[in-house]
Amino acid sequence: MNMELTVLALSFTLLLILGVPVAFAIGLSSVATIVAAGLPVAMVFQKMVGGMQVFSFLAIPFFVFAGELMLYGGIADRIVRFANSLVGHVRGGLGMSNVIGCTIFGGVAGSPLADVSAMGSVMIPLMKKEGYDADYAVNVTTHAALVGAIMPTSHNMIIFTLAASGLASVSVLGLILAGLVPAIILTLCNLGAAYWVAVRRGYPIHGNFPGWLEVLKAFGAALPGLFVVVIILGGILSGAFTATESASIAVAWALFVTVIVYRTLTVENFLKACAKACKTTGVVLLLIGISNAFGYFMALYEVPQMTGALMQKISSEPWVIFLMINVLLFVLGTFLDMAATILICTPIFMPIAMHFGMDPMQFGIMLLINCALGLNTPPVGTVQFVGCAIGGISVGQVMRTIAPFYGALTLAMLLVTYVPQFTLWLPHLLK
Amino acid sequence: MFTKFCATVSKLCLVLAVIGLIAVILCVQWQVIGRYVLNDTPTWAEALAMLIVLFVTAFGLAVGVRDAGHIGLESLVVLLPEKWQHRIEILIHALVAVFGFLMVQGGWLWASAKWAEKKPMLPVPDGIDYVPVIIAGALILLFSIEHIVALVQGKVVEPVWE
Repeated sequence: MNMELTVLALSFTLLLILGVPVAFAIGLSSVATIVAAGLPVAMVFQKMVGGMQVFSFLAIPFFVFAGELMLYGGIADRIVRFANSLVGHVRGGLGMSNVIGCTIFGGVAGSPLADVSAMGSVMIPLMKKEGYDADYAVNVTTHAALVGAIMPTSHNMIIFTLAASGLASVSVLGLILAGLVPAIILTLCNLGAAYWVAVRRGYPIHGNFPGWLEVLKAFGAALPGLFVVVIILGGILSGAFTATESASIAVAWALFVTVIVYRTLTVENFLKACAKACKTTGVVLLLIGISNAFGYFMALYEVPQMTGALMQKISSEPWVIFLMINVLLFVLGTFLDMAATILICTPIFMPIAMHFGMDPMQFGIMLLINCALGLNTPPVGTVQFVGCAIGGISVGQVMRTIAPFYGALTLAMLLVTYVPQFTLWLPHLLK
Repeated sequence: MFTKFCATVSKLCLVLAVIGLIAVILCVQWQVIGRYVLNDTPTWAEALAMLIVLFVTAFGLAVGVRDAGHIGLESLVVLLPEKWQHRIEILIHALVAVFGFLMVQGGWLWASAKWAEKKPMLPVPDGIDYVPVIIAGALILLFSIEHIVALVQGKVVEPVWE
């Protein structure tokens, strides 16, 4: 290993251990490396601004903003009512409606964090009131919320297409389509786990099926909110709009629905949503820019090639390589922020995965699911923290009964990793 | 006095960021309207949106740094005695401040180097892309110093707008 690379790796690790926010850890270690290489420090900022000048980059603040509007705009209640009318009457019914509700809201907001905040604050107290254990309520919600990461409105998908742009051509549309079937698989696995635990714990059955008319009514009430997914998918699929343009229309639609149709968005909440969107935008976009500098050094010092060679020394079987990549992604995802994991890991692991025959879109979805799982795992499990805070229990208590839910999601991930058709069938069909 | 000043600056930044974000959205939508309704795609809309979003990032990021609260407490540092946690927190803010300073310096260098060139789609200097880097750097420097001062005095920086 040469000196500059040692500086890069050591300074980055040290800064992260100290607890420096990840964007600054990346920035400072890039600066340290450039100083070690004897080059002018200003180069870092040239790479940074360069990394921020891609048009599809604009979709990120739009998706974040639309998600925040949905979060504060009272759409969650309507989705809960719909999900409840649909599956509320089966054993562990609230758990099942929670899974369905989180999945639908994930499609609207595209963010696990917004999902757990919106659905969790409605569902977790409700479940506790109906006699469900708090750990069950939290685990069901936090795991179901993860599906938001691979939904059409997910800004993390845009981040992945940006990170992959130098290595392979991955279109935003292709990735969105690739995520749909895995999202269904994740939801089914979540439903299975929620039902299995409900049966084992002997949760009671509440009420009867209200009839399809009620289901339809509840669906009608939730429909205007759900229409945002139609706008995005329809807009891009028909070729009428680019992903960025669709995202900007999604914001306008979210405003229209929450202000005019539902009349639930107060001025105070609108300002909150604006403020949150701007802060998140600032942090995420800095991360993308600065990762461009970091990625430049990783490419310069051949980190992907070295990682690939190292992995090939262990095995040349594709399934072993994919397993190793999964484990590494999962471990990194547990202590790095989602955007950071995507930006750092894509240039390192995607070339080797592609070398062993994995499609870039499939890699993207696998990466996103791994990152999502990391959101539910200490030490830095943001989604889990939020869920626990709402449920009023400790992370430790939740971790004791997490196994069935983890198992379900691991199963979903293995299916995505080893059966390419799950991700590639839909994009190829609609090509 | 200093905290009050920083709080006002932070609030102003958020207002500017929100205005900017809405402007970016309008630019992109104007592009759609131009293409489908006016049959004349405005070439400036995309370029302007890309420029404004850099300013939104700068202001949003700076406020994010100010409102971060106790940083570093999500790492192994929590295992250390309290006195050391306190010191490391100051160190982290100092490191962030150093990066802010470097942003000002690097941004200034590029902005002045490229000020004579014009942007292809907009009547503004090419170096303007680096102005947000200078602004973000200066604000990060300011807010990090605010955090350090507050830590030394045993106070907490309160977010102005959540």
